Amino acid sequence: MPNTSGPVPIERVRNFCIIAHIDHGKSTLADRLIQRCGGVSDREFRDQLLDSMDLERERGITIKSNSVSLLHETKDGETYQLNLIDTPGHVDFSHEVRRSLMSCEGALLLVDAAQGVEAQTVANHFVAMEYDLEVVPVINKIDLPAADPERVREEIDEELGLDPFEAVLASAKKGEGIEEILDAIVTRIPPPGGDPADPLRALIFDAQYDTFRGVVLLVRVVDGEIRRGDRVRLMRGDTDHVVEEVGLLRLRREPVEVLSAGAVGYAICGIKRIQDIAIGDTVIDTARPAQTSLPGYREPRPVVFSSVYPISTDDYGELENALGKLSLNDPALTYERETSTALGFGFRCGFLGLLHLDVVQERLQREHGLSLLLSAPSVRYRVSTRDGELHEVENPAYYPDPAIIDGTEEPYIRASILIPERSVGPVMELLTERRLATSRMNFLSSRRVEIQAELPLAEVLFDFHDRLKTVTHGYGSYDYELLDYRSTKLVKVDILVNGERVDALSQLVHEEKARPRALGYCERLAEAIPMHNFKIAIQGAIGGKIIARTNIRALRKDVTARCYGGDVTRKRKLLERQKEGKKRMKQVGNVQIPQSAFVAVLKSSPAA
Amino acid sequence: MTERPDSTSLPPDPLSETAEPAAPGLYVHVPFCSRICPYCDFAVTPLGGPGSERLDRYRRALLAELELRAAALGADTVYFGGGTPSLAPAGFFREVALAAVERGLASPSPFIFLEANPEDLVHAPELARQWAAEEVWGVSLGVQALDESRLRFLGRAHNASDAAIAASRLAEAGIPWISVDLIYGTAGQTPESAREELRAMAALPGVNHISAYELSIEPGTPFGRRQARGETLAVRSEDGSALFRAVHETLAENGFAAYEACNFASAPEFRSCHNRKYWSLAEYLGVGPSAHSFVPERGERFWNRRAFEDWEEAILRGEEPTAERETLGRHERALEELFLRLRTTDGLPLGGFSARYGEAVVQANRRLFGRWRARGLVELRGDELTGWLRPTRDGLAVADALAREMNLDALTADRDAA
Repeated sequence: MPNTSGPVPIERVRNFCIIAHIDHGKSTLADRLIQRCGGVSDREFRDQLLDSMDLERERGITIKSNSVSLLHETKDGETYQLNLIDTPGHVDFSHEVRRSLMSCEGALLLVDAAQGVEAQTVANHFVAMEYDLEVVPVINKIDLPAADPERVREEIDEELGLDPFEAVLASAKKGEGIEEILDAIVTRIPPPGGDPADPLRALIFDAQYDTFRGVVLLVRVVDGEIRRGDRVRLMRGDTDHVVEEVGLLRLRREPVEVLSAGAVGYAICGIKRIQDIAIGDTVIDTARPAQTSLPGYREPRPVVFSSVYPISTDDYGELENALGKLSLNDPALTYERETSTALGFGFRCGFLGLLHLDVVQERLQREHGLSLLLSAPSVRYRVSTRDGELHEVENPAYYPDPAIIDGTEEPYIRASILIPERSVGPVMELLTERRLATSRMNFLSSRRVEIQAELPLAEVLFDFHDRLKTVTHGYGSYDYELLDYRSTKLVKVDILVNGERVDALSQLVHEEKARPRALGYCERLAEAIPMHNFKIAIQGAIGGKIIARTNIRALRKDVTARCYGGDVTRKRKLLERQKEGKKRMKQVGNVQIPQSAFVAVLKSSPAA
Repeated sequence: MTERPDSTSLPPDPLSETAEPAAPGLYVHVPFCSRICPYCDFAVTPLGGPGSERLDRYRRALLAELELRAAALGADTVYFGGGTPSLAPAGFFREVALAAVERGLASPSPFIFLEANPEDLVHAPELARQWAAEEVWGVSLGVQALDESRLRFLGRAHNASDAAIAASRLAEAGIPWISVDLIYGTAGQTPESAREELRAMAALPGVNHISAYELSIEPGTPFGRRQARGETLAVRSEDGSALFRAVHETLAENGFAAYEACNFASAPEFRSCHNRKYWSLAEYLGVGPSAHSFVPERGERFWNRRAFEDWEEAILRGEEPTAERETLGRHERALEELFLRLRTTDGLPLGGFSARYGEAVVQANRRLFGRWRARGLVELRGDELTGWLRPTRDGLAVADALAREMNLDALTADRDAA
């Protein structure tokens, strides 16, 4: 175990992150590095992880966060401090990835030995190059039967322009290649620069909340020093704070006297509410304020919107609480209160993209135990009205009266799609179906093609990823960036159940897609609503015009056959269970719609 | 047992608005069958041949249970259900009924009912006369079907002509109440074929009561296992609905009026005065394995041990063979009253319901009742707060749904307290 006493000189500090396509093994590799450097056994590691859930809240153990300081002793006996900085592994978080990358001098670029280079890998690599990071390619999962490191080397060479022979072969799962990776971090990633004598500038790249200590800022000190007792200010705030503690992000928070230029660690400054800080902001010294902020902060601009409702209305408070907590570490997540006649109280939430939406949904469900309903995702439209006003509309509820609308624009993206050559036909077909504007093809190595396509963002919100995977037999991947707003023909489609509008199912769609989308909703709703003792009409409508219709036939019989012989108890218990299930249903007019119907309709949408 | 009841001494209608509270009933479970039907999930055990030792053990234990449960119940009906009561030896029904009278459990001259398999009456021509001599008032014949292939599918031992012979023997012997059971909804049955069977059933000699149940596949039965393996044994639920309608229409056309979702009588006096006690929450005691009992005064339900040996063992130890008891909270009781009463054409007395569970419950559901009426599911006799809600034929078809739709939130507090 390396010697932990005394600070590690800045020349022996390495700040790095791991960038990878989803599922290429980032978390596993991070865990391995922590284990190797923390000197803990598998068993202890696991126990500690399991035990840490409560401890983490109480004592600020940072084991769950992947931002962690590791001490690594090289073969020649030198101790290095390796600061692993967490990056979100999702296409939607390009800005968050950037912010993490800004705190580093190098990056491990993880590529799955079977899957190879994917669209996201390319995108991440470009960002890393933008920040001039030293990139160490790592070919992971070499233990897989389908692993083909030679092909992946070729892709790394031709598609990323990196030296394939510098790639480290590893299996994070089996612990292979970990020493080589640590060596590469030490030898290939440069130590941080920055002058400790300059006025303090520290980038807040993340934050945690500690019940006892308040907000814990995770910072990269770029210039100057920060030490206990200093008076500091956040560039975007106007209050002074006294630094109560600074330290390193070891398995537990480990207080130190000072964090100097180049260091990564934490600072506790008596800030009580996470709302009072902004990730990406710069910490400066009150006495000697730096004049320019670090370029880490950007006003979050959600681009995908969805209404989030608790399945059980009792959970509304818990949902609000959970969203509050999540938004602390996730400034891109926006939410505002909303009421639906069908679903009760909920929130209209804004996300950076579909994956961001998925991540938030998953965290709400997993970490907060909430069962949720999410409305169909929408983009933000620009609607100009006759009176010359421009409205940004992302909620169907606020769509203006079509009679006063002058014009509508919707956001377009440039999608970068990596596929095998043989899938070009089906993928082009899919793109055309998705209102493709223009496309360009680049033929790459290993019979692979990159398609650069311009299409509406709204068109990738519905099962595009799944469809792409299907038509490419699992080999296609895509990434996108927002391009601009372009003129469109939008309509608001309502779903009516026995003439009553189900507000949670209203959506804004392109004129061409209105009918198939409405029909898909009607059909799935018809399957999911149980029969009633009267006929139910389910209709899709644009204004007063019905564009789709299905019916649910009336239930003709709902009475238990035998009810004699005196066993009333069993029968009553059955009815009680059924009645209980009914309570969880939502009433629209005279129709009971089970939650499962909303889930079935909203979970994915037909390829309209 | 002094004199035989006749049609002038019919029991009071337990459901009528003016009637005294219905007298209690006594149910006797006879757990033996010569073969087990593949759809049956009642407590039954095969009987290995007539006069077997088990039947005698059963008789002795049953009489002992009556002694253990002796109380001033005063039931006016004694109903032998099964199983196959028609397997019981000569004199059994009279002996048990007399014992019940002696223990105070039945009032003198109770109405005796029993369930019988048609083949037993065919094989033993003297059986019907013997029952008449034992002062049996009513016999329910387990005919189940008149279509030969459906009879085989249901695993029955008789054929259509056996059913006719059995009914005529009962009628000739002067049994006043003759009922036949029918199971509809077996796979492949159409409304047309059902109508044909029902017309034949209504025309059986002496029959004045018909029970028609839709086949329900119960887990743990041979049918349950076959269905789990993917076999289609019953019609789809929507076809079941069409059959329900066909059954009700055909029986009405042939002089049998529905008075409960599955029960039909050729005249009001032939409604089953025993089974109606279950639907009106009257008191009843069940003896024999698995038999259920209800004590309205205490809101208590209890039931006997299900397996013959377990039941017998408790009695031999001198203990009541009760397996479990439950005391109903107000909410549970209200729900029972709803789903049971809404199965009957007499329906739900709103005044009585208010008196028992509070007017708030009836008030809270007035709009719902209005919707039911608008959809032709119920009719209102009298006013909205004290009248009777009477299900129509369409209402009977969805009686469970009606009970579920009722808002009982006004009772929730009591339920938690209970």
